[in-house]
Order: sequence, then structure tokens, then C-alpha cells
Amino acid sequence: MGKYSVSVKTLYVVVIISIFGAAIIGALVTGSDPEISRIGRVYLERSLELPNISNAVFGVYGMYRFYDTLFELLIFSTAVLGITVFSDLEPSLSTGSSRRPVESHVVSASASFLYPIIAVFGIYLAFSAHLGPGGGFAGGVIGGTGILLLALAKGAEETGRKFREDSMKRVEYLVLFLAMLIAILGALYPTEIYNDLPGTGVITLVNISIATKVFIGTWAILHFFVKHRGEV
Amino acid sequence: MSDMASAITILIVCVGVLGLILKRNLLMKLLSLNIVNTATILFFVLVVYRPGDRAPIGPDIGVQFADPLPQALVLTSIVINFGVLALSLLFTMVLVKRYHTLDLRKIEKFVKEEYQEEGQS
Repeated sequence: MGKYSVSVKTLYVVVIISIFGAAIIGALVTGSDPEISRIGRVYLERSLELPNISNAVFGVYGMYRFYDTLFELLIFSTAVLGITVFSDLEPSLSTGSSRRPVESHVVSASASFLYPIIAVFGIYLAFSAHLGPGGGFAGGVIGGTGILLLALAKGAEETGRKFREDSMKRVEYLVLFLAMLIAILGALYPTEIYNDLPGTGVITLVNISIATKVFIGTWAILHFFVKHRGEV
Repeated sequence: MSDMASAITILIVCVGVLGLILKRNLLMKLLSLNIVNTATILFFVLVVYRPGDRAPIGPDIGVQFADPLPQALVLTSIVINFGVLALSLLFTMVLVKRYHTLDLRKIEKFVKEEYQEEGQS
């Protein structure tokens, strides 16, 4: 049994090294001119034609390839769902003993005035994603990690009481549904949704919904890991 | 895309895959998976890198814009990497809580013994 598994493992290693070695030699031999891809050029031109959107990356992930974003959100919410379900199913994981917060004066003093700045920065990135660098994902993750700072400073239980996951969960799927609805409407009537409306309310709504979803998911994941961390 | 740089990127992917197969520690396996993910992102960056590109933001004033498509794909890759890593760390925590080891071979042995005991009873 042991001899068999060792020989199979050696075979795996040889096959993998030969495949990747061939790829490395191929990459060294064939030179390629860096050129913008054909689809990328089409997306770039179309995004820049729309007056409301000046960030072409948002044009790709928010308009033309929204199905990518949609399945990404679905995978993300599947991960969050798995974490919440398994933390309920495995009661041995939750020790129940309330851990003391980090006893560092720097963290506890800076968290209370750093968190509003972080939250405002995340909201700003989510609101202005169609105009400049940023995006819903970045804004949501920044907000979630800001709450992580609060949880490290004031304790996971207190922060978890303030930002309750089970009530946030309902918002999460509502927000996903909202983003899907806007995307379907945008696919059916692109000029009405993305171009002709006064202001950019609908586009901002897509970004805000993505940011809210990522914020809730990130906080659920980080809250689980903060709650069940070992002794720091 | 520089040839040497892309070859090094493929080498990093190879190191990660070898670590996934050869390491017995579950955390080391997850670390190798993370290495593969990071090398993939690096490969995306190298594929579209052209000197003198500007970020694709703003009106078209004749400057050379970067390709927006791989940037959006890398965004997807990063978020999915985060989700996969979090879920697999949770499963590792469950396994460690139950079997008190990170060694994959010992965990397989324990699972096989439990399975045989269930079959006998």
C-alpha cells in the first residue's frame, strides 16, 4: 500500500514538472507583442462613449460582463452560507468563553476615531466607482475590515451585538435581488438605464448593492474567525 | 509580456501545485493554494502590461489606455480566493477540533477506522 502510494506520488510530480517545464520553455521561446485584446478594446470604446461612466473597468464588471459579477456574488454568498451553517452545526467550535479584547492602548484608542474615517472612505469608493478608481467590492471589503478593527479593540461579542448577522442576512439577499433586477433592466433597455437618466442614480444603486453585499459577507466571515480565534 | 517574467510566473504556479500534492499539513496545502492564486493574478498583470499605459478612467484624449477586461477578471479572482480560503479554513478547524491533528494521513486513518467501526456495529 505504502509503496504504491509513493510511486503514484512520484508519477504525479514527474508529470506536473514536465507539463510546467514545457510551458516555461514555450513561454521563453515564443515572444509576444503586448496588445490590447479585441474584446477589451470593444468594451473600452463602448464604455468611454457613455457620458455617465468614465471608469471602463466598471463598464466591464457592472454592465457588459455582469454575469461574471453575479456568479462571483453567488459563490461569495455560498461561502458565507457555509460558514454560518457550519458554525451552527458544530457547537464544539464555539467555546462560549468570552475572550478579552486586545489589551493594547494604541488599538483601543485609535479604533474609535479611525472607524468613521474608514467607513466614510468605503462608502465614498462605492458611490464614485463609475467615475474613478474604486468599486463596490473594494468599498465593501474596506467597511468590513473597519468593523474588524472595532471587533479587535472592543471585543467580538459587543461588536457582534451591534452588527447582528441574522438581521443583516435578510438585507443581503434583498440586495442581491436588487442588483440582478437592475442588471436585467439594463440589459433590456441599456440607453434608458445607463445613459439617458438624469444623474447616475441607477449605476450608483448597482455599486451600493454590491458593496452592501460584500460588506455583510466580509463581516460574517471575519466575525466567525475573530470569535473563534485562539489566544493572541 | 516579458518572456522571462512569464516563465517565472509559471514556475511559481508549479511550486504551488507541487506543494498542494507533496505537503501533508493541511495549512501548508492551503498556503500552496494561495500561492497558485497569487501567481495567477500576477500572470494576468503580466499579460496586459505595456509600458506607458494609463488607467482606463476618464475621457478619450488620445492617450494609451490599459485593457479593462483583465482588471475586472482579477477582481473576480481575488474575491473568490477570499471565499474559498475562508471556507477551507473553516473545514480545517472542524477537522482539527475532531481529530486533533493537521496531518492529512493521520486524519485519513482515523476516518477509515470510524467507517469500519460503523460497518461492524
